[in-house]
Amino acid sequence: MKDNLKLCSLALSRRNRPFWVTAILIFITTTLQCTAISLISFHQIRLEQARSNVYGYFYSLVYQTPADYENQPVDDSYGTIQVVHFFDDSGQSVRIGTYNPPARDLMYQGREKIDLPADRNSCLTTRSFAAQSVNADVGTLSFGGMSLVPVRTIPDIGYLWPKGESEILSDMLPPDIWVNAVTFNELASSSPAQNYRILLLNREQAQALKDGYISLPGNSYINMNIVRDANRYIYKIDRAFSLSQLLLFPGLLLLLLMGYSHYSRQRYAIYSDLGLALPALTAVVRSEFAAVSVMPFACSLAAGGIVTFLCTNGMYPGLQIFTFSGYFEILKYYILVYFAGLLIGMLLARRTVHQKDRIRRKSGHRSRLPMKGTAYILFSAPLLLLLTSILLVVVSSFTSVNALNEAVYTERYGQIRQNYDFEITYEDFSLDSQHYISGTDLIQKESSAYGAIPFFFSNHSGQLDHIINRIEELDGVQRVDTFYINMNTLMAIPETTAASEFFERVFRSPRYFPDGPFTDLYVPEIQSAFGECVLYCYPDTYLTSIAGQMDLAPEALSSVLSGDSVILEAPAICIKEEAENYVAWKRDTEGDIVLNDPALDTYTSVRLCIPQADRNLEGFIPQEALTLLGARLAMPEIPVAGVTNRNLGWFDINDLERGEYRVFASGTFFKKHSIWHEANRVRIFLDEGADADYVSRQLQLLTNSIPNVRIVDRHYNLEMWHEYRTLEKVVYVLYAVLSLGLLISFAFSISYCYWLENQRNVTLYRDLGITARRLFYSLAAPFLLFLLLFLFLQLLFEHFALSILLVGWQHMSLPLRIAVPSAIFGVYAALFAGALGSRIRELFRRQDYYE
Amino acid sequence: MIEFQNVSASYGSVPVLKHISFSIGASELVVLLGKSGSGKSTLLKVIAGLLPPTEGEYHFQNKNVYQLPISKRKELCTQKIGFVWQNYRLIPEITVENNIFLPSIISRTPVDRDYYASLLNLLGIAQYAKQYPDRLSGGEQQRVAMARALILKPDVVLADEPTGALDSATSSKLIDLFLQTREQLHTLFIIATHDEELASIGTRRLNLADGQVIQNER
Repeated sequence: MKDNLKLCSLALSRRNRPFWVTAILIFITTTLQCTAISLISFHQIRLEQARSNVYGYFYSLVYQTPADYENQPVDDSYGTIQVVHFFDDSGQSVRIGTYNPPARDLMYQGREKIDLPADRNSCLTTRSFAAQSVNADVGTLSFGGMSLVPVRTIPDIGYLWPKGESEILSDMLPPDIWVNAVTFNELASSSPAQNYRILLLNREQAQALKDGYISLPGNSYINMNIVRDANRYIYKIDRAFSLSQLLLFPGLLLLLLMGYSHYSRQRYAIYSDLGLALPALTAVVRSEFAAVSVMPFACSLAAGGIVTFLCTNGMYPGLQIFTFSGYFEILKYYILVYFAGLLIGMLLARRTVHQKDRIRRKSGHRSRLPMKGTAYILFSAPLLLLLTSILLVVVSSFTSVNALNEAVYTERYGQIRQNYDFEITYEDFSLDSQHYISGTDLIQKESSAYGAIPFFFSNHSGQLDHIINRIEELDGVQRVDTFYINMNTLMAIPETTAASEFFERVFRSPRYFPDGPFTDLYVPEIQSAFGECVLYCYPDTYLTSIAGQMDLAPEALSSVLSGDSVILEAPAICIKEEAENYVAWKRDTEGDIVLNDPALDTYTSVRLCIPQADRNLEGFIPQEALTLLGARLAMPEIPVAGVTNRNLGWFDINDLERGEYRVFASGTFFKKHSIWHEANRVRIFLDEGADADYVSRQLQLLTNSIPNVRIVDRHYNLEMWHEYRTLEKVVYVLYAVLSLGLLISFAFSISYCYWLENQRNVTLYRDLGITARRLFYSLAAPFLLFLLLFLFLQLLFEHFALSILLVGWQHMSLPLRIAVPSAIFGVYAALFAGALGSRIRELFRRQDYYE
Repeated sequence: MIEFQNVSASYGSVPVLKHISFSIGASELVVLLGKSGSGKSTLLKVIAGLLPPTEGEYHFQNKNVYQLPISKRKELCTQKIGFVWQNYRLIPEITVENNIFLPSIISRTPVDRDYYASLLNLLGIAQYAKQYPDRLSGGEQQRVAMARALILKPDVVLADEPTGALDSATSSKLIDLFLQTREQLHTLFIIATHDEELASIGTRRLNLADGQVIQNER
């Protein structure tokens, strides 16, 4: 053993270039891998923390019937909610639930804190329930002889709340009314309906239950919103990427070890001839494998840790994200597969030694083949195929994740893209009892210069106006942009269009007009009909930016800024017939946008809505679609400076189901038409380096007396977003370098082995007078022909197999699918040819080299 | 010391040595002569324990070499037989000193430092000990290869065309070296060569033709 180690130590000679080249290659590639993987992972951890702080999360729910939890203690720490079905005076079922702070925290973590006063008559109601059932005159609800006072409305179905088919079928929807436990018990005792409770679990709690083998009775449901986001959207590298990395790690090591053994085989042959027995020689080779693998990998782990530490500290100063235990936790599988690769290499060492012996003996009696080495071609080509597939997976993974992320940024978290730090919104939809739409005081009527009568109505009450000046005076505030939003603006449209069922549905909606159809009550004299839109007042800087995106002429922009015209954003549309929803447009096989269903014209019921994030990946609505839309719903008859079908990226999550035109106008437009223009959205921009926490606290103080105000802290998200984009570029560069490094090491290793195999032949051919050019072609031709063959096989494989297996692959265009493997094979072939050419040049330059 | 009894050897199906029989005593200087392909190198490989004969028996110091277990055979041949190849077969990545030490490392035999020093002085390569072989001339590399063959004080040194790649002046020096070494170390030398000058120093000539010994004279 000692002597074997002595022999092994001889391999560490500084002149043993194969050893050090291999060690350096392993160090560089594994350092790149460790750094890239850990940086991505730490960033994901950070992003998940940030996201859960902003949006909150829970992963699992358990619904239980009384039989399920009979005789079991209720653990409030899990966020237990008890719910009873209560039948009101009209016989309608109403769900009343207990308000539990842990459950609230799971549902609304990081968002606005909604508290229920201890008063036994206080309750919270969902918005739709409030609009339908709350007695507007007295502002109370009556159940079971008890009068409840709604102190606040909350979203019907929070973003975090699942509403899957199972829940709907089981009638296990969230409560309509939330009350204190004491009140609940009083109500429940008088209810004939069954009780059940809901346990909300976050991921850690759910895992703890599973790990502890606790059998929890009841039906368990996954919060698909969160799971989907975690798996498909937002900064998540998909599983195929991780698997490809886990394959790449040992594959790369094996490749380099095989190359190293090829380089060293003459030395091994001398050891053998000097009397070293095969088992001892195998041990020496294994020791060298271990030395050349473990030392650089240990250095890589250390270097990767240091780089990751420095990067994470640079990116997130003040946040202690990096820990060495966390670092090794992230890399543990990679470390395992690396050593598994080393183990395989060591097992193959015996075979390598035997082969060396055989090759050496054979080399004394070479065959008559003019060139040898097809074995290396066959050895290298499958590995090249593997490498190409892995890189394609990486590219397609990034393509896929990017496409989905872009969609999410655009559709769901559009605000992230806006460059502001805080946003305060007065929520029009938060209909407190004192703000129900009723009476003409909420409607402003005005003559129109356009032959029709537009109506604008809102429930603004200037809540934010009085604090804007104070916000501007806060330290660190650079600018405050004010937005006005009129959610329900009526715009004149042709009478024929207004007679359609669509408008019937809108104007007769009890949600908006609980006392009767709007037109019957308030505007019976109107001869024209109306279309609904949301009128936004944007700051001039925003409008200018939008006009730039639309290529709007300067004159048209000027007219918009002076309040003489508006910009219309046409919505994406869905068609509704019976219970089915369709996205109206799709891309055909040639990439053109066409009607999803040719029978669209026969549909009698049309609903406008904004498609969900993953539905809008096909692109925006084309002009042809707008024309067809115009045939059904004519454009509003107000001067429109331009129409854009691009999603301008600003709407609220709660608006997803609302269908409307969106009209962007300047403040001057509002004034000219005497439209109420109290601010209901404010965006605050901070100076660079400003104390965001201080501003946040001040904003809370300034607004805490105002109901229905939502503050969004985008400071955090903006940081997150920019950091991610930076990191993404770093990762791209890292992988480009890694790929190139692999190709270089691969091409040079194989070319050297190929050269060794043929060196006696080529020396002979040289001495017989062959030209360098002819020698090059003779050596390179079989190799390049095989590469072409394997490229063809690769493309076939990618086309038929990957298109089925990988979603991301489907996002890659056909030219990209061909270009990526071709580029990899091309670069590899060029490197190989370069390495071969340089050796031939050297051979011809040094005539005595092989004498 | 060496005894061949009806030994035949082949590479695959190609016979190279055919029914050879001879014996060699200690301290001789045997020269193997013959045309290319006559079997000189093959005979040396059989003596060195690197190529098992297909037929017959080979005895070294009264031991049937190829009847020994492989580990014993390796041990015996490494410690008792040194080999000097025509193309030296030095490892360019390690120093001259380490190249010379290789047999001692492989056979787990400690190096006699005084002997090592005297060997380097005898061969005139003491100044190259810390250098790498590819920096040396052909003659110097050949001397390093000799030092490696002699480091374990073997009873037999085999040399395959030792002057084949050397000019005449260097060859003469090497021949003097063989004589000097044999005189001082009393080692049996078996040298395969085409070089008439080298052949002339032999105490015994074995002439091979077509795999058979056609001349065996002192």
